[in-house]
Amino acid sequence: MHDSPSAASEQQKWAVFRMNVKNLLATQQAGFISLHEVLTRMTQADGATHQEAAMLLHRLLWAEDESVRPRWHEYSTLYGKRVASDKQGTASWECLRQAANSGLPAEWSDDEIPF
Amino acid sequence: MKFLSDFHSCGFEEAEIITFLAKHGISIGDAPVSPAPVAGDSSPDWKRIMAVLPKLTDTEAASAFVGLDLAGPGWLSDDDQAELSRWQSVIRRAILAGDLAADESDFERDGTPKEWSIFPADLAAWCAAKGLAYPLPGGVDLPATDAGLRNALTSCDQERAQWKAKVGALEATGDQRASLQAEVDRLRGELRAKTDEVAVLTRDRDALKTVTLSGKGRSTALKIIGGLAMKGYGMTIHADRLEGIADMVKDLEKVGAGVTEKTLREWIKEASNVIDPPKP
Repeated sequence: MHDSPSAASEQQKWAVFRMNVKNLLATQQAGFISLHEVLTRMTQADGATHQEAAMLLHRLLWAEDESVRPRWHEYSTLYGKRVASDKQGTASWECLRQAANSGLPAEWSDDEIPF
Repeated sequence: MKFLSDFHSCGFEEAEIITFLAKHGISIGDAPVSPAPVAGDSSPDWKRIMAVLPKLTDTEAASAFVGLDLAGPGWLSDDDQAELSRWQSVIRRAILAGDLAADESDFERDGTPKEWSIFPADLAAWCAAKGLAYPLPGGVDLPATDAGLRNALTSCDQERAQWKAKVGALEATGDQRASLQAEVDRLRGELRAKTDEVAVLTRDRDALKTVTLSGKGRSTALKIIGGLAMKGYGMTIHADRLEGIADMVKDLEKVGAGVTEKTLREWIKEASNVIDPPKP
């Protein structure tokens, strides 16, 4: 049994909608680079450790005038990419300081205690 | 204590951090390629998109100066909002002062402009005049020579003159309208006065109708007049020629009830119609 023309048109419309959803989600994430990714790329550049990369990044950011310093951004499932709020900006600095002091947390450190 | 997931959720605009680190001699990759990259242009994508708009609203122009993507996700921080508001104020005041050419594109209920639309070229000209960097990437050609600037100025002056003429025409239309409205008001007043006058006249006419003798009263009055003329003055009221009417007119005048002979004659003639002629 074939779909009626209107049903086919409806399916087409939903197909376009799904495509737009994917595109829009991709657009919202585009351009965001996490602190983890930045530090990892810095280590790949000359073999430095994450902690060393974090120390350098912290010093460079801290020395730069606030008006021209790259702004902290955040990315979340619910809100996508956005400029970090003051509170989130403070939390981002804490991440960078922690990495500069003791490196990145271990993979298993997240959320649950390993048994 | 921060967890690894925190390091994934916080970060930077990729182009910004890559450019920043590259400035310090650290390469972590190339900046993301935009749909229409301009050589040497580090403007974010949203500015490149905004740069191809045929017109900008005053808010969009302000956001370009501040460097805020208003279409981006999330809420503006208080600082960003304040900065945006500051630039909006600068742009609107420049428009109101006539420094920056713009058209009203939306209005408040009371008719005051709510939003302005600005040609990129006008914005660029204003930036040039104020020594500001044009906030959007490329796309706007400004005259590069004095002659070019003079031509542009002449063109602006001509355009301003045209707008002034339009404003003058609109004001003249407004004056004409006010004059016509005054005339309409005057005619309305006149019409009202005439209507009142007609009402008074109608009332007088109705009053006069009530005092006019008619019917049985009139017939009785005619009988009295005719009877007195016959017996008091010996008139033959049924004759073609009324004799002695002059005496009756004089007597009526003497007692202060003067009427003209013609009137009296008409009434007596009419009385002869309601009084039968004496039998011989």
